[in-house]
Formats: sequence, C-alpha cells, structure tokens
Amino acid sequence: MQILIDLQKELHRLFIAGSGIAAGDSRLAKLLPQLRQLGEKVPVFKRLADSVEEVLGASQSDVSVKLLELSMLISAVSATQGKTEMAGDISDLNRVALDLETAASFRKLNPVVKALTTTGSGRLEQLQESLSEKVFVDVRVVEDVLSALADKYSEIPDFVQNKMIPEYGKQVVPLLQQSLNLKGGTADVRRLKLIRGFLGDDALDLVLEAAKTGSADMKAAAIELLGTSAEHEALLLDMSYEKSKDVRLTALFALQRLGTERAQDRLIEAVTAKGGELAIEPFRISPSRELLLRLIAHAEEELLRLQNSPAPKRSDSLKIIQIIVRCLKDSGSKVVDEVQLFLQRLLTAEAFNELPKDDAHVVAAELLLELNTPEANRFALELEHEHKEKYIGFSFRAATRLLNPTEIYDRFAGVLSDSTEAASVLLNTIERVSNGQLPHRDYSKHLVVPEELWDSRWLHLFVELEDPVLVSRFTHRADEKAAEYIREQVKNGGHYHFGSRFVWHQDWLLLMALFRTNDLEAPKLFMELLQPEDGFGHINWDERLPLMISMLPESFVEKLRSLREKLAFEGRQDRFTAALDKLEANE
Amino acid sequence: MTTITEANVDRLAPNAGAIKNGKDLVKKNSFTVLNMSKDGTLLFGECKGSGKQPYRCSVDFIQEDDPVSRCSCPSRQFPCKHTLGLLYAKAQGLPFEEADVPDDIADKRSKAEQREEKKKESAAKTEQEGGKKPKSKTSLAALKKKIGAQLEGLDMLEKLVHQLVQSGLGSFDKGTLKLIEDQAKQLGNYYIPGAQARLRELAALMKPDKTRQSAYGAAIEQLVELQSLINKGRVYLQGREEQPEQPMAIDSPIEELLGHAWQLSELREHGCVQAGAELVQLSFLSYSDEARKQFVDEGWWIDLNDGTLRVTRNYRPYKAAKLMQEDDTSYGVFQPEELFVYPADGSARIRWEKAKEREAVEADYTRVKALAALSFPDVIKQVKNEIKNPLADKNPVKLVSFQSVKQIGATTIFLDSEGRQLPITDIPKTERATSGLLRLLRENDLNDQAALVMFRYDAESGVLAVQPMSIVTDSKIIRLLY
Repeated sequence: MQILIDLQKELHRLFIAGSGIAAGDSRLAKLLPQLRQLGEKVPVFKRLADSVEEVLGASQSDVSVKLLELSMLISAVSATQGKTEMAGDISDLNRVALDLETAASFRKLNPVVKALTTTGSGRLEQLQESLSEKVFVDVRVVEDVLSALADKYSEIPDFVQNKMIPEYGKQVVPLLQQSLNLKGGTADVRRLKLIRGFLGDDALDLVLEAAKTGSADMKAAAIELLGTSAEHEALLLDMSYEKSKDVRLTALFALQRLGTERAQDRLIEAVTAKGGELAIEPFRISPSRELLLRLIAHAEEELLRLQNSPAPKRSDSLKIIQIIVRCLKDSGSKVVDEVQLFLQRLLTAEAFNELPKDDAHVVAAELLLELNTPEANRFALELEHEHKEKYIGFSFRAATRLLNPTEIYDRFAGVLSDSTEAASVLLNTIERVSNGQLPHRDYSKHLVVPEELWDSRWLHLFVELEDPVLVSRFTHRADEKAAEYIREQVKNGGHYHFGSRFVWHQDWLLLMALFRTNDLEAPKLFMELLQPEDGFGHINWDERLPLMISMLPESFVEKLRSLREKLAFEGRQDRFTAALDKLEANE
Repeated sequence: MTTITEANVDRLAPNAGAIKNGKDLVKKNSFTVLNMSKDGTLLFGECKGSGKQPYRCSVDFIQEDDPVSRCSCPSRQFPCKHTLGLLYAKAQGLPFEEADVPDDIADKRSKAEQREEKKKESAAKTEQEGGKKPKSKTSLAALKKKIGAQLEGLDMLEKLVHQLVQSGLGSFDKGTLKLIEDQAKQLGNYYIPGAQARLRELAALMKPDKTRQSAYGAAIEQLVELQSLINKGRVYLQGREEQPEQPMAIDSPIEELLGHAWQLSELREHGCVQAGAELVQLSFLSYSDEARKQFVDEGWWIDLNDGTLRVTRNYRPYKAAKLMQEDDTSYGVFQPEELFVYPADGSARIRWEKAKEREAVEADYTRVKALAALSFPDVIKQVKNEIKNPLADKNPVKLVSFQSVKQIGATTIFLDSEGRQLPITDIPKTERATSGLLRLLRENDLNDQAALVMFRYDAESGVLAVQPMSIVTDSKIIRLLY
C-alpha cells in the first residue's frame, strides 16, 4: 500500500538524520490525516496513527523509543502485506530438460562448486579429481561448468571443454546456444566448437554464420570447423582477404588443404602480394607438387624481373624471392630437382649476387644444403669461388659432406691466414660445425671434436689465431706448442667480480685439455685456479669439475677438501666431496 | 563386524579434505603394516609419516555402532587421516593380516569397559534417588546474581541503541563503530551473548566498505530487532528474577535469543525430548555467518509421523572449522531413541545422539509428498504471522504442494491447484542460486509435486517470494541445494 511505503520512507529519513528532528516533523505529520481516515475502517491503521502521533509529540528523552516502536509496528504490518501475486501474463517456463540426477552429497559436490565458482589455487586438481566419480554430472552444477568456459585461468576452460562437458552429451547444446555470442572471444569459440562436436554437420549453418558475421576469433575458429569441402571455396577465398591476420592465415591454411585451382591461385597471389610472409607456413606444409611447381615457376619469373631491373629497383623482387625460398623449406623435398635448378640459377645470377648481403642469400644457400643431394652439395662447394664473403660458410659445410679431412684443410685453411670478412665467416662456421660434434650433455666426456673428422694441422692454426675455445676443442694429444699457449692462458685466467673469484668456462676447457694430454703442470695450475694466493671468494661450479678431479694425483685430496666451503649450494658441495671420495678410493 | 564401505568411512571423516587425505595414503601405499584381530573387531596398522617412526593407528569395533579410532600422530583432527586411511584400505579390500590385539589396546579396552560400568552404576543411583536434584540455596543466589547482570546488560544495550537512533545513521563514522565494538566487548560480562552478537551484526552492516544506501535499511531493521530483544528479554528476565526456582522458558526461544546454549542434559531436564520421531532429510545447506564468525551446516527434516519440519544446525567456528566434523547430506530414514527439541517459535532445532537408520524407500517419499501443505494462502498466512515478529527467523521454510511452474515476465512462479502464485527468487543466505535450476528439470518433476521452499520478504519491493530447496515427488527427492 502506498501509504505504508510513504510512511516507511519518512521513517527511513528520520533514522538516517537522527530522531532528534522527529518530534513535530512536518512531513511525518502530513501523513497523519490519511492514516486516521483509514483507521476508521481498519484497526491496525488506527494503531499506526496513534504511534505516529506519539512520535510527533514525544519529548527529546523518549523520541528514540517512540521511533523504534513505530518502526517495529510498520515492519510487522508491511510483512503481513507481502504480495505474492505478480501482474502480467502467465507463460510456460522456458525449459531445457536435462536427463541428469541430483545425486551427489554436499561433501562431494561442494568442492566442485567451489572450484568452478571461486578463484584461487588447486581448482584444476579438484576438477580432475571429480572426473573419476563424475560428480559433476549433476543438474545442479551444469550451468557452473558451462560458465567455467570463460574462466581466466586457461587450463580450467581447456579441461572443462575437453573432459567435462562431453560427459553431458548432446543435451546441453541448447544451453550452449543460449549463451553463445558470435561476436565474443575465446569462451564463445569454445562453445561453438562444442556445439559443432555434438551436432556434427547439423551445426554447419551456425558455423557458416560465425564465419560470416563473427568476431575475428570466431571467424578463425569457424574456418577450421568448416573442414575441407569445395562448397565453401568462395567463402574461404573471401575470408583470405579479411582484415584480421589470424583469420587470413586460417583461411590460407584451409585453402591449402582444399587444393582447388582457385585456392592455389589465391595462395600464389597471397605469397607474392604485400605481407606475403603470412602465406609461408601454409606452403611449407603443402603436400601438393602441383602447387609447389607453380610457386617455383613464379620464383623463376621473379628472378628474370630482378635480372632485368637496375640495381636500385631490385628490392621488391628480392623480397618475393626470399619469401618463396622460405616457403620451400621442408616442402622443397617434394620437388627437389626443380628447386635445385632454380637455386642454381639464382645463386649464380650476378644481379642477385652483386646485391649487398641479405637474408635472401642466406636462406637460398641454406635451402641448397637442406636438399642434401650430391649435386646440390657439389654446387654448394663451388659457390665460394665467387662472392666468398657470402658463401664460404656454406661451401665449408658442403665440403664436410664431400671431402676428406686433409682435402678440407688444404682447400680452406689458407683463407684464415688473412683477416678478411671471409676469414671471420669461415672461423664462425668452423666454430658452429665443431660445436655440433661435442658431447655436451655427457659430463663424463671431454669436450673435444672426433679426432678422425679433422686434420691435425688445424690445432696449430688455431693457436696462431689465439682462439682458446677452438684450441681446447682440437687438443687430443700432447703438443708442446698448444700446451705452452694453454698454460699461459690459464695462468692469466679467472677474474674478479664483486670480491669473488670466478673461473671462466673457457679456462676450465683449457685445463681439461691439459689434463687430457697428461700435462705435468695441469694439477698445479688447477689448484692455483681454485685457490689463488689471495685466497679470495668462492669457486664457480663447472659440470666437468668431477671429471678433472678424477684425473688428479691422490695427494691433492686433502688440500681440495678444505675448499669445499667455497662452493655455493650444498648440492654442489656434496658432489665435490663425492668426487674427492672417489679419487681417494682409487676408483 | 558390519562391512566397511567407502561411503561409511566418508561419513566418519570430518570434511572433504580429510576424505581425500585418507584415500591418498592408501593410494600412495603409505601403510607398511595392516593387521586385524582374530575376531575382526580391531583393525590396526602402521603408516609412514613425516617422522622416522611410523604412526601406529587403530580402529576398534568392539562396540559396533560406536567405533573408536586411535593414532600416535599429533593431529588435532579427529579421526585423523591415518585412521581414515586404515578404514579406506579395508573398504578397498586390501589384505589385512591376522594378529593378536596389541597390549596397549587390550589395556584401553578394559579401562573403557570399567568406565562404562561406573556410568551405568551412577545412572542407576540417580534414578533411585528420584532424578532431579532440587536447586541448592547457593546456586539460587548465584542464578539471581546472573539474572541481575543480564538485566543490567540489557539496560546498557538499550542506552546505546537509543543513542544511535538519536544521533542518526547518517552520522555513523569510525568513532561510532569503535563505540559499538567497545560496548559489545563490555557486554561480554553480562551473560547475554545473543544480544552481543546482534550488536556486532549492526557494526558489520555499517562497515564503511558497504554501500550506504542498501545498508541503511538493514541497519534500521537491526536496531528494531535489538529494541525488540531488549523489551522481550527484560520482561522475561524480570519474571525470572522474582521466581528463580522456576525452570527456564521452553515455550519460546527467548533463552536462546539472549544467548543461552542449551545442553542436552538441560533439554532432557526440561522435558524437551520426543520419542518415536521418524525423520527424513529434505534439504541440506552450509553457509557462513560472518557476525558470529562461524559456518553453519543446516539440515531440514520432516517427521514422517505428522509432517513437522525440523532443522539440525551444526556450528563450526571459523577458527576450528578444519578440525570439526562437517555435516553432510543424509539419505536415510532416522529414528532417534531420544530426539532433543530446542525451544522455538517456528521450526525447531533438533539433535539426537543415537538413532536407528534405515534406507528410504518409495513409500517414504510418497508419504513426504502427501504431508505437503495443499494451499498457498494457508502457508503464506502462516509465514506472514511468523515473520511479523522481529525476532523470528526471517526465512521460514515450508513444504508446499504445487501444480506447475510457470513464468510471468522474467519471474518464475509456482502455481497451486487453485491457480494462486508463489514467486520464486534466490536468497543470499543459502549461498547457492536454485531458481534457475527448475527449467532444467524433467517435465514430470515439475507437474503436481511438492517443494521445500525458503521464504523471504523483500521490504523494498514488498514481495514475499521463495527459494526452492528441494522438489519432492512420489519416488524421490530432487535436491536443488545439497
């Protein structure tokens, strides 16, 4: 009733402002006549009117009590007025009947509810646990499970989507559809995927709609869900021009799978247009010889254009060629002969080679080596004759496949004697190639290249070049020239940093070489490195320290034991002690 | 010995965490020894723990319906995860080797037997002496003093309430909150913890982080309740002061409202016990009561004899919640030897110590459904009558028959056979929304069935609506909460 609501409002105001102003309050007084009038018929309004009058006439000392009494009365009256009949037309419930029980007890279900509706750690584990007894297959949590598709912690939506919701079966599709927003983000993508999973081709219309009108995320997902069917060709072609990169890429992948002529046209067009990098991945996984041959033909055309352009205007063609070559990584093996021919033409084209060193040169030569046919290797070997600074590394790598160690040395060592760009490129290549031959993961082995793969003359060359890393890698047996260089290096090795002494990895490597060659000075140098005269700081650990210790004379054990504390971390100290124990036990 | 099933063990565990920890011990093969006595009454074993010595745990079934668990671990949780693990191992059928009962347990058994004997003897003795002891003079004097203090406490509280009304809720600030906190603390000395907790609720409502506008309505209601408690408490206590030899009131919940925690022995003494009840749980919920800093596990039951609704409440203070037994959904039919019924205005709280339990069958559900109130107007009238008392439970629970579930606009409604409505809502107290679940149920389950519902009157909209807790059909209970 309006009068009750009005009265309650005034009371509310007086409680907030304080009962001090209640006595004689004019707004409250205004309601009195109406209450009196109603009171003539209904006794309870008479009581209300009396109570209001008492408040209005109360003294400051008892106005609070009167106000509370009036309030008590109004609460009681309005509670009895509570309305239960709603206005409006009665309609049927908007139902989605589920064939599910409500069987789980509080203790079983509540942890699942908490995991789904709160934040915090341990939730995924809880859900995984609920899977064994299928506790969540219960009407009461279905909607919580579906809402968890939007959980911020992505592993939960993953789990919910892949493991939990499938347990409900097709019947939850209407619920998924009700909450699906085609303009939405990842949660809606999950919904769409689930619907497609449950309904199969019956969901095709929805997927098409998502592809046409959805958000970028949705479009990309829809393309994948459409599958490869020629009837979607036109749509996929359209979508390969979308604004969003993700959508374009997904469409290109789909076109690659589709493989129709128009799809191929579009792929070729995409790779040669601006932003052609996007099309590289679809080409790299393409199994279609036909498509790849078209790509190579296109590359040949581009090469011609490059050759016919003046140097400053070659950059567009160079870019396209570079992208096409990258497309052929992996996929090139399906069209080896054609790729090989193209690369030969490209790598001997003066118009290409005279350009400043570019990624295009590198990827082309890499692709040549990747083909790994005798012909390609031989071709790569000869590349160094022209444009050494660009190709000598590739030629060297080809040589390791074609020539014996002596031949390699004879052919390439001379390059290193001058300090040219080619020399530094070659030295880098040797560093990389030899590094690939080291037993990095096996700490019980020395970091040394396989002796039979390299000519023994390299060692002296590296000593002359003062390359400590390569010297250590190539020292197999006692050699006075190398040993002298190494000893000198080790003596000056180590460095100080914030008051602690650190030994460089390369110093350890050099020491290892001395140990390996049974150099008599090795133990002494080792001790000096570990315990310099000033006795500074701690030792930094090297994984091959135990191996070195095993090569020391037993007499060093006691001295070394005292150094244990200088190692940081207890685990390392223990391994240090274990190595010493082993040495002492003469194992 | 009764067969041990995982469900039985689950029930012994204080909470879901304990269940998981107990099962994990079995999964991880932490038990190095699993033994059973020849007569099968004792399970014992050793379990790897974090220390060097394994924990020695046992479960004694010498009294079949009251197993005793013992463990050498220091956990305060009871039963601890080791004894639970031992039971899960048995339930999962792991091999237990036969062995003699260890000496220490044989010792404990005989001591327990002696205690039991003594108890019986003293019980027999009191019976001979005629049960109740008359109150001594000194205890009467002490009681009078206590009542005096309670009245004093109410006076103090009233002064504060009037002061707050006088200055107005608009002037509430940190100082006011502190004043309330201080006074609440002081009230601790006046034996009226119920009133004290209500005062704290008021402070919680007016905390600065709450939105003021919505808080005002609730705070006014709280002030009215406080005044009402003061009025009723004073009348009651003044009566008691004059005749302290009279028993405490059991025809109204006033003692409990003031904060008295009834002991079972007191209830028995005051005749608040009932025999022959046959109880089926209709719904279970668990919620957090922040002002009293405790979790409340609430079970709603119906007595199959006459349809009386009863409620069990298990209070778990936040501080001890992890160690305390957490209640759970119950599915059986319980026949307590002695049902303790707390004094109440609406649905009474109950407890029991020992009960026979049988599985519920279809006839029980049919019976429950038949006990539901047939007409909405009668129930609504009853509810309005209850909630107009400011100290009554604001959310009465009733079992009602309904014809169908429909919709008016966005509001779902129950319709009775006369086409009268009961609007459906969700009540924050239950901490779980159930109104949206109805549309997911099977069509049959929404036609001509009964519903256990919780009422709520919303003063702002003037609507009296219900939250469905369970649907009862002739063959089952569909629990929408737990």
